[in-house]
Amino acid sequence: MNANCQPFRDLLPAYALKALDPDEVRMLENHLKTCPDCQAGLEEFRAVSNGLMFALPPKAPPPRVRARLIASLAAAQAPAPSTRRAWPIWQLAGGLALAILLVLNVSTLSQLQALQRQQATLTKHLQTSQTALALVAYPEGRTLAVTGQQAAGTLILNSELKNGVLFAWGLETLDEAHAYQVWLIQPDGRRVSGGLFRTEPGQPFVSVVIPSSRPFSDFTGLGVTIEPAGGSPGPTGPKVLGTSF
Amino acid sequence: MSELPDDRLVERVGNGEQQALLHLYDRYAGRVYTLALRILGDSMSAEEITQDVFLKLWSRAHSYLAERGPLAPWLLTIARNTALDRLRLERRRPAVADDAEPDETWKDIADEGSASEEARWRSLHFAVQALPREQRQVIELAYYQGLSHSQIAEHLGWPVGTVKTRLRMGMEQLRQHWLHDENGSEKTKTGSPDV
Repeated sequence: MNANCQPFRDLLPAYALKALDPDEVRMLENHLKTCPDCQAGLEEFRAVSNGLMFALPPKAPPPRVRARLIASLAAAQAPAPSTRRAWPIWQLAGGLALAILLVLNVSTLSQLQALQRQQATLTKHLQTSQTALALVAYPEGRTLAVTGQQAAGTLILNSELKNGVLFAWGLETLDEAHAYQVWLIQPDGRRVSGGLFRTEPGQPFVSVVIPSSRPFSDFTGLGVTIEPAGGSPGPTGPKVLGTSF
Repeated sequence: MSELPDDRLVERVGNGEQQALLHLYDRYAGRVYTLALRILGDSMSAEEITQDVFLKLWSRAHSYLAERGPLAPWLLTIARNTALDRLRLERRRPAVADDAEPDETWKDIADEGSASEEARWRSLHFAVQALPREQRQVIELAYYQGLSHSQIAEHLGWPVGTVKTRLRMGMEQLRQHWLHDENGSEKTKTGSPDV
């Protein structure tokens, strides 16, 4: 480093912190183009500056942030495929031909069946939403966050009534042999089934009405596990969602 | 999948695997949240920034190039820029570093060895805390509040020259500390060739 460098060297720490004013930035950047010593000095200050990003004692965010992220992912579209992995043209042509063939072969009957299934699903969702609206309309209506490792949701209930509504996001679509089972937890720890439900492929949300033979005030919490398709008398599979009342 | 390195998980995120993103969230959300909280000083805003950062990773995973550097600085740079943008948008008055006791959290984290990055960051944290208050203030206002020399001078009511000198002196101390740690880490990593 020569003596002419000193004024510029004095600016390096602030440059690494992006704290220089614009005229100083221009002056220093012109000098850096021709001075390897100052470039090397800058790298050392940049290492410190980058270290400051990590130089805070890490503190975990509240679990609700993870739950909201899962909900947002379910609502968002999947990321755009990478442009770095372009397909060869023959694969694109083959894929296009296959797509045309598939479109031509879809029968009117299967379209009708799909529409009927969709209508049934929408009707069920509408009824569930209306139940939820009715529940929150009561003064004692409550909304609780339901959390899991990979999924999240909201439970709407009224302690004095025998119905609750569970909205969940991020649950995997299960194979035919399995279903999700809701459990209502008694104060003594015993679990009472709150019904079975499944998720539809491509549906990010699921909403289910949870019927109970007793008011929700008789229970202390709720859990959801994966069980055999017909349900189980008590939880046997992995827990995917849970909350305390 | 949780054992996979960052670049493999990012590749999976790029292919639309939500579980891969959640593994990265579990790995780095604490650092992202802490940085956002330090910049914004408000837990609700820090929570939103944390969610934004991972949604950006979800939508931009294909633009991350592992050969350009590790994932953590990439994520934290997004977090810092996003938080500083929000700070400027809301034109909040910057928080001046106070004399509160340094966060105790790190004192409870087991030292995984002097060569570990975690140990270096912790060491840098305590080096920042050990700076004279005036030097620490200007460095923190520059880095965590995104203020320039002249903005810091205006904010603190000090001459610009004083701000420049204090920032330079503080950063020089941190540089010496960092290089000393680096040399120590190298020794630990490579053993003692002179023996």
